[in-house]
Amino acid sequence: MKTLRGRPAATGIFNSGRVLGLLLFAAAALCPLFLNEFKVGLIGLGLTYGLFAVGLDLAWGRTGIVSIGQAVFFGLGTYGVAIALVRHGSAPVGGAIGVALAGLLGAFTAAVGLRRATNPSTMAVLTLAITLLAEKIARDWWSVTGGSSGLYVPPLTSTYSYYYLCFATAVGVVALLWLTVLNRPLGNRLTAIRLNERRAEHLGIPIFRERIIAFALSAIVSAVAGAFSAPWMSSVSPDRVGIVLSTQVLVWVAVGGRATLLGPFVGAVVLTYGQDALASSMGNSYLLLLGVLFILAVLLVPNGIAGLFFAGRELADTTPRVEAAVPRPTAAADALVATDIVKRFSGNLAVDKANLRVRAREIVCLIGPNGAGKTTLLNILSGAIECDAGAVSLSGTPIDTMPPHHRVAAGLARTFQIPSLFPGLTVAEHFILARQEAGTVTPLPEIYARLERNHGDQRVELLSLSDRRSLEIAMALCSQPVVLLLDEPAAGLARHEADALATTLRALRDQTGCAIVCVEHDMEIVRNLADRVVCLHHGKVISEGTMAEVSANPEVRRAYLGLA
Amino acid sequence: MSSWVQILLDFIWASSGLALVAFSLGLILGELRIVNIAQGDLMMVGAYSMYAMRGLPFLIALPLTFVVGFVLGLVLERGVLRWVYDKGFMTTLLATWGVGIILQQGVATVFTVSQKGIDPPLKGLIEIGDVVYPEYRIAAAAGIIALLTILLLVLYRTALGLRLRASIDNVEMAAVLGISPQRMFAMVFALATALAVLAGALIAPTIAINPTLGLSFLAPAFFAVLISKPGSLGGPVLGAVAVEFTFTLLQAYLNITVAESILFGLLAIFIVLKPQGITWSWITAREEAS
Repeated sequence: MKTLRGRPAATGIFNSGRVLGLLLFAAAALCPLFLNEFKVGLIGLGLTYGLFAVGLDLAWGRTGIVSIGQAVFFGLGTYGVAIALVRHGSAPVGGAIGVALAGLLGAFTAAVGLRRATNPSTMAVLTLAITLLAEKIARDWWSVTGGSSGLYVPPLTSTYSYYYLCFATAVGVVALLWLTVLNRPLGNRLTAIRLNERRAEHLGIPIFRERIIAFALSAIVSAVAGAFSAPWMSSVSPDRVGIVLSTQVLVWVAVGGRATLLGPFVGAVVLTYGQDALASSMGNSYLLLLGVLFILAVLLVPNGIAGLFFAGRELADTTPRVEAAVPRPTAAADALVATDIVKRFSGNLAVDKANLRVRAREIVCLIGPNGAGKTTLLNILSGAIECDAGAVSLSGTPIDTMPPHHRVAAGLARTFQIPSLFPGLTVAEHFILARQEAGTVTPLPEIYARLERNHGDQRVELLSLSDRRSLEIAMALCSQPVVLLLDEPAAGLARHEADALATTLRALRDQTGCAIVCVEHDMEIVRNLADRVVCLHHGKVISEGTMAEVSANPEVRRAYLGLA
Repeated sequence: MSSWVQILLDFIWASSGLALVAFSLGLILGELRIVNIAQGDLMMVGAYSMYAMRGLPFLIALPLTFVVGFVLGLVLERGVLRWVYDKGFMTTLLATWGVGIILQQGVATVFTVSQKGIDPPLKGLIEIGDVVYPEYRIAAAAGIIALLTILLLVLYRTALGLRLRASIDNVEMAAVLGISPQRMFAMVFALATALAVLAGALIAPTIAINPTLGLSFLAPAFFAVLISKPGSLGGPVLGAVAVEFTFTLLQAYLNITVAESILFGLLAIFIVLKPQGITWSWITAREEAS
């Protein structure tokens, strides 16, 4: 896969990441030739810690999942090998069992803590609790773990050959991760989830599943690192699964640099080596220094040491090679049907038995005074919130029980009232994500194609509001939707932009054949855009028809003007 | 019979301490929207503060420790947290994590890592039936319960409490009404810190004091907050009672580590069933009434 062109100028001080990476690689490969056995052992341990940090980075740096108990997974690998060695069993088998358990525990934790409705603090509490608990279990279950004193691991016969085994493993695991996850659509999805969960979901990414996969992988990588670290220690004790090690790995990743391949290794090796060099003279103040360093890194250098050297390529170019020729065929006469939708917010009836029928290729505008339930209805249609009662079907298929990403696959796409994009990514990268999820490259109407041509390498924060709205619509179009849901596409636009919008959207409908449901307050646009107007009031549809019919309806006038 | 009295007294003592920590944690989560991982370490600071002032009479050292906590809270809020409010949930969480490390290692540097202990001010024992229980624990539990009652009354029955609850509910709207978020954040964090420090100070005479003592209180306190609705102030207190009740029951029959594992399993099941936590309905009713 080719690297992405057209990124903005490098943000790092030196754009010399590759040279630095090669130099460090060579240094790690050659250091046994220059250093004594003890120091090689220290760097070997640092390398396995680095791999451990890569595991944490997969969850934290790439996907944005907090894990403050990562040592549990590391420790499962370490104890697996140590228990096998003590009982004269096979170390690889013991390690493999530990790694498998870590993967299961990781998947289980993520499945509990990362569900849709859970608070973001849940995952932090769960991972913290697991590491505290694991340390206690390791201390108490002395028949297996050897209790507080731990398990004695036989010394290595050859430090040098084991060093190269660890080196090869670290390089191998990282290469494998790069080839199967990071440089693949999955890696892009993880980045998308980290940057904007809601947008990712409404692009069609199954966020719950991908996060479980990411966290399980992160646990597995950490456990592999743990398994290889066991022979470097003279004894494996409960602190291998505990809170202090969980803390240290956070520091390594924060200082080394998140979401980079080199950063975790740099952080781990530098700080492991530094700990040995300084801990004897500084004692506890070394750990104090570490704490200060961590806070400073989090506050001032969010991208860590590696961030100073790398321009930071966020996405792999995964644009599909398949060109979509024809618009998605829509056989059904009714594109979208919503029946008797009810939604309450703690006793407040937001949508009250609303019905909506959108024919294929039809443009329906939803109007109504503030608080009429328009956006709530749109959120129910797109799956962002669940309704209390009612049914929704798309081209005849019921979709009301589907999560948002399945609705996208079924042909429903949406935009948000405040454009919801991926902060830090360029326009071109947004198209990569949208096309990756669509699986095809759809020809876009000229106005959107021009946005990609002219602003491709611009970060979305620098776009004007109208360009950001256009980008959101363009991304939605990539999935060849049957129905496009727009939430106030004209809000905040200048008069001339708003006037052009109706023409653009009608042309878009003619070209792509998708139906449009549009919440809009600007009656001028509604007049020019809508085939049919639906007016909501107190969550009920009070009138529908042409603009002239609806605006003549006395009930609509009462709702808007409060006339008796 | 006698063992049940013993279990009941232990439960009252343990749940009152936990309730105070959980309350302070819930206060910070509600107002500042921050998961303060350093909360356990703030308790540890309270214990060490009492140790440092062991020469003074207990009832003088205790308010001084409260003041130490309040000042520490102000320093942390002004010095660290206010720089991270707008940087998202993760950064705030990691920043408090860093604060925790610094507190632990700072204390370890000043006092060394060896265990310390202080004498309780009341050394007597109370006989209830055939159970003999330390006077201090009963007095301290009564003190905490009284303090929590006063705090909840202030929050739900006074203008100051109303301002705070308004700010928790919607900080922007409250700001428009003249409730300064900066001042509210600083005051709430300082108060919550002082309460956690106070909890640590009260528990100090009954435990071995070491720099990592806070960690063992952290998980149950978070459980208590997690099972109640976000933003609820009374919720974490009831949550603490529920968590401690379950734990005491499990512990009566099982080894402590097994009991903790089961507690964790129960929490996981609870989160799956009720991801938004419980709305303790009588509290909501009171909130709406006042």
